[in-house]
Amino acid sequence: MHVIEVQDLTKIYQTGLKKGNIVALDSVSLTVEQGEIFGLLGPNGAGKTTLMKVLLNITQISSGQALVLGLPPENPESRHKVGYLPENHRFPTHLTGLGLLEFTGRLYGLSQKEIDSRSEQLLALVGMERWGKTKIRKYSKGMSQRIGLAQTMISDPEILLLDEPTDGVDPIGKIEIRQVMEKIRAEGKTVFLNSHLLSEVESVADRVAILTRGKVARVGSVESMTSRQSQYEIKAAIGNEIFEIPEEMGKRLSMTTNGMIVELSNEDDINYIIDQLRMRKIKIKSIKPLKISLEQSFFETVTENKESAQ
Amino acid sequence: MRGITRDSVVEMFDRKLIYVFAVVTVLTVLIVLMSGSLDGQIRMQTGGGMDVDDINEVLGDPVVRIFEFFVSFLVFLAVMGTAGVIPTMLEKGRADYYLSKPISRTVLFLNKFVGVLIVYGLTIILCGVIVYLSLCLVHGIFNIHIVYLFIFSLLSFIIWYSITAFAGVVFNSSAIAIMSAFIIWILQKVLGTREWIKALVDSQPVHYIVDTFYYIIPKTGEISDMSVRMATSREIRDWMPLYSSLLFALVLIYLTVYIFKRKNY
Repeated sequence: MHVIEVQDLTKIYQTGLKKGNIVALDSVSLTVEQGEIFGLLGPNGAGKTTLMKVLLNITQISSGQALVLGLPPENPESRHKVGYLPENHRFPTHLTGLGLLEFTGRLYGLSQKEIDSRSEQLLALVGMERWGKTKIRKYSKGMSQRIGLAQTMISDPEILLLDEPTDGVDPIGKIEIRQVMEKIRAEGKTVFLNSHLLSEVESVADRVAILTRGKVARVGSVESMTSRQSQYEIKAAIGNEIFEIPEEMGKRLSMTTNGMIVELSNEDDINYIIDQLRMRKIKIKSIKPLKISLEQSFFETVTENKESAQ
Repeated sequence: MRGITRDSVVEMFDRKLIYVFAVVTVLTVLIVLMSGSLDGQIRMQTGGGMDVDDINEVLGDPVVRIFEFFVSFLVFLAVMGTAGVIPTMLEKGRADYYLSKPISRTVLFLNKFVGVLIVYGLTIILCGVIVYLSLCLVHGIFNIHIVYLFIFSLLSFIIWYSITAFAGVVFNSSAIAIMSAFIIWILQKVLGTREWIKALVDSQPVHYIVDTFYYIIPKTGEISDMSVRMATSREIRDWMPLYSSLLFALVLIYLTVYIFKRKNY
């Protein structure tokens, strides 16, 4: 089930007469499924935050369509089951941590009883039990992020939109926030994550979209983003033997005495390689599809898009 | 959406302006107490031949004017103190928090507006009542019509707050919000002398422009004068300054909501 649907979404910021318009989102189309962690990646100014803001009607759509839990963002009801942690947030500093949770709960229409029971749980979940009665203005960046994460969950939302949730958080806090996201996913809820930390997205996200210059450059599972199509790393005692691959099958990318990396036009042709190695009585230690990091995949996608734009 | 209204109340206390109100009120009460018993002095000077009604008549107008000045000063403090409420709510990072909640922008703005009105309205009334009671007890002056000063000063505050809220939404700046109120205040002072301007410049289009601006721009100075007349039981010949100023505030609030609903944050 799609919890977020975006179709040909365009957002144009109208600036001063001389500066012209800024296209922040250009015909973006994507869907986010229930129960997944969806990572949104992109360089600065790619439109990631704008997309989140459009989904919450903080910024209004220029053209196209967006649906959150089946409702357009202009309908306040679409935000009823959505929690949002903004980037560089500034929560009302006159409130305490508990006060923020209470106020947020009231904005969601919760009863005092619901607010009280959830507040305690959430403070414990984000490790802020001791600081609930302290004014937010006294919080460190990491504490603000934690209380910010807690307020996103006060209404027991179906979708969490998290914009740089680990920004300013210490390494242990980052792990804890990741665990919170995984827990939310385990409950069948959805996390829409915007982060610059690609390793973080890679470790937690099910699918990712890469935005460049307001357009979706690539969307897919983390697995598909990080695997090299039909490239295999073969570890075998090849020694000094010359091992050629027929041209129509593919090519050998590199070769050492301990193995080689091959690129095949057809994945099934890996069997041919195995047969050849066995025929020559070469001991095969391992064969695995070649993977790259999400960071590398991201870099390649962004570079390709930059080049094609030029 | 009592949550927003309640939050506005908490926020106003956090801004510490309430304490400034308390200090001003205490100082005023001290001045009243130190000024001694005016009615006693008058009785002595007139050989004890005046009753309470006579004293009220002699002292009524100056006391009402002093009291009106005090309440106007509270309104001025309130306008300065609240000019930043809307821009603060809409500053980067905070607007995202408010706007991402399942409430419409109209409800959000109006609740914030009402919350501020409640806090400052009640504070002005409370401070005014304290000063009024001290005047009554020390000077023996009892004038129930003084309540008009409260009502009119609250209406003035609504008018000024609608101006700063409008500027706050349009420009997202507390400084510009205060400047807008100041510009309107200067304009109304200038337009208050419109008969003199018209006598000075013998041009029909200029007269027309001056008159148009006069009717559009709120006239809180004239509203103050009206409140003094009401408090001293004098007749008001023209209610136009009050009606046109309130209409100005209503139109401005409507425009503010209209712009707020369409703005990107």
